[in-house]
Amino acid sequence: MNTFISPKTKVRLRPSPWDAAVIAAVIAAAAALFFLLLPRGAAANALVCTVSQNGQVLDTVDIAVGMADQERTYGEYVVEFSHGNIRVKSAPCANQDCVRTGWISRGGQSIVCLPGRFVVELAAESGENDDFDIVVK
Amino acid sequence: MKKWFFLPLLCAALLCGCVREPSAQERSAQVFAMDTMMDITVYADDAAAAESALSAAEAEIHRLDGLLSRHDEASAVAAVNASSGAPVAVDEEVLSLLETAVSYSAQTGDAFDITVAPIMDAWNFTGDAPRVPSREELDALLVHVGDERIVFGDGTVTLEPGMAVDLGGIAKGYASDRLAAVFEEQGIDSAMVSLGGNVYVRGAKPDGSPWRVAVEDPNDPGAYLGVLSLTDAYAITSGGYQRYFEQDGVVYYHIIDPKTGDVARSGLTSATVICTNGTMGDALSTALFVMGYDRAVEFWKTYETDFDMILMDEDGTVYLTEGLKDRFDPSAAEHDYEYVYLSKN
Amino acid sequence: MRTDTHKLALCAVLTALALTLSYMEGLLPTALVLPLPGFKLGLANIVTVFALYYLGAGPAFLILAARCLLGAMFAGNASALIFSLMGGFLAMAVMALLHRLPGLSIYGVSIAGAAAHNTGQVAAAVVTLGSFAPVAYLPVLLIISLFTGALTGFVAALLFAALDKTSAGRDRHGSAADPR
Repeated sequence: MNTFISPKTKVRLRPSPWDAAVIAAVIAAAAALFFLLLPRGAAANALVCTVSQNGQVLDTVDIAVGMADQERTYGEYVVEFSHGNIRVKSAPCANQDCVRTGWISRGGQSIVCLPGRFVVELAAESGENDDFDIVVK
Repeated sequence: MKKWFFLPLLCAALLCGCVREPSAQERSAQVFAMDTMMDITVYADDAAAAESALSAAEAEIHRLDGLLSRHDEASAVAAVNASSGAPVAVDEEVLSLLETAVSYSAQTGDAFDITVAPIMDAWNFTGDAPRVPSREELDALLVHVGDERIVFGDGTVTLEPGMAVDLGGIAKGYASDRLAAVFEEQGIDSAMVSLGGNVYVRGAKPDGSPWRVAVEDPNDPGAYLGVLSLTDAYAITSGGYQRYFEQDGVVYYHIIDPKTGDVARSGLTSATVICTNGTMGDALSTALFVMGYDRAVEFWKTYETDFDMILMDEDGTVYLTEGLKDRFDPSAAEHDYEYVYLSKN
Repeated sequence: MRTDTHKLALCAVLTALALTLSYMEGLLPTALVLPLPGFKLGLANIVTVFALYYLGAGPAFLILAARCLLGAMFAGNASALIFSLMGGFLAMAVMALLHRLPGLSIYGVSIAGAAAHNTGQVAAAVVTLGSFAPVAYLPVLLIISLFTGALTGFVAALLFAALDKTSAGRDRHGSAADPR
């Protein structure tokens, strides 16, 4: 005689000490992930500076807090990094527009030297800016 | 047990009919042309279609650059400028673009004029050594300004000696219209283009949401007045902050009032046009900047084609037309400006 | 054992129940916790738990597949399908493994299933968005799964206890009344 319905597997309906092990494992996984992701989370607002010429990326620099002030040379261009600000310090072009652009420090900003097709761009590290897709200027 | 398989199979069969995979391939390119940097991003269902559209777009930009650049001796525009009084044969496309430019000049009361080229040369904004021309020099050159004097013949254009045209105030806008046509041919429904800051967004983003177009703050480039939510639109700004030089503590920027030959100081720091025609947007943004607030608002109220605009004045007030009310979000602005909506009534 | 037809009818009822649960939890404002379209707390896992214990892994698998496909069809949205498939099947796989362990109660199994469900959905978000950014939500979601899992386990425990009584009752009185 069959019952109307019955478990195929034996069921424990009351919590057992082993359940605590499952809970501990889940908490441990959550905590481990949390601490693993922490440095990335803090850097979510960090910027990446991309230096390119003729569409070729020459360099990418993470603009991190506490980054040492420095100058980097790309051919005849000198780019200066100082306290999270970036500028083209010297350039071979005649009009010096890129040098006169001055410092940039925010995601979405860029310095462009048209004659040399030299571009310094700042973007949010995630690759995409959350606030907008494109800038009209 | 065979019955078991019907349930999921039935579901799967039904599902195939109504679910389409919304995968979009993104491709982008940076193009240096028309004295500026251009960023083009296209989305297509497969990578090959995106690549193909991108190279077609690049080719079109280079074609237009070769046609419209005043500084390229082989260009159609250079040929027109070299005419010194004789009719020059030009192809249909250039002819109609010149005619369009002249019509915008007439409609805007000469706030926009492509024949300011000799005066732009005197200022030399794009060259190595920009300078401030004397009043006498400008007056002597103003004699050659006035696009109503361009003579259009049958497939020909004639300029008086001393006159020259510069399509710089309209070429990028026209290029964005042409890119729209290229994307149409290529079957691209979603794309975003910045031609040196002139924005064209095609369709919506691949996820269906509108494009988020930030409007640069003329007082603080790198900051924004706010963000526009746009689909299928052109957004073009004219501002004194884009190309300028300083002499004796005075800033001289590249927008010239065709009536005086001098830098246009109308009380506005930027004029942005949002519309559905790139050529028109480009011409109007320059014209509105030159007009200043009062004339610009009057023009907006009476112009035959509807468009939206954002004007910012020197006092830090941002004026927006009513059509932007639910498409503009000022919360991204870093500075505390007053935002005023303009109504046609 | 009952006939296949009886079992099929039970499966259909369970599928309907799972669909209802998954629709109802769609009404909950989960977007406040995780702004991902398609994300579900996993209350429909109650049905998976029940099916697993009472019908075995095979039928439980089929009910789950039917629920995911029908749910996506009703929502008319393929990304929700990926979310429910990856969440549902990971939960199913983990629970299928754990429910045979003698030491674990229905609570432990449900909690492990809920954690697996949320992990699967985050994996779905990673796949659909092509970005690892959603992983940042996982620690919070794992903690949330302790509560949703306990709730699922509690409801399942009540259900099982109730069924135990009714079937026991049927055994006593029903044998005579059973026409076969």
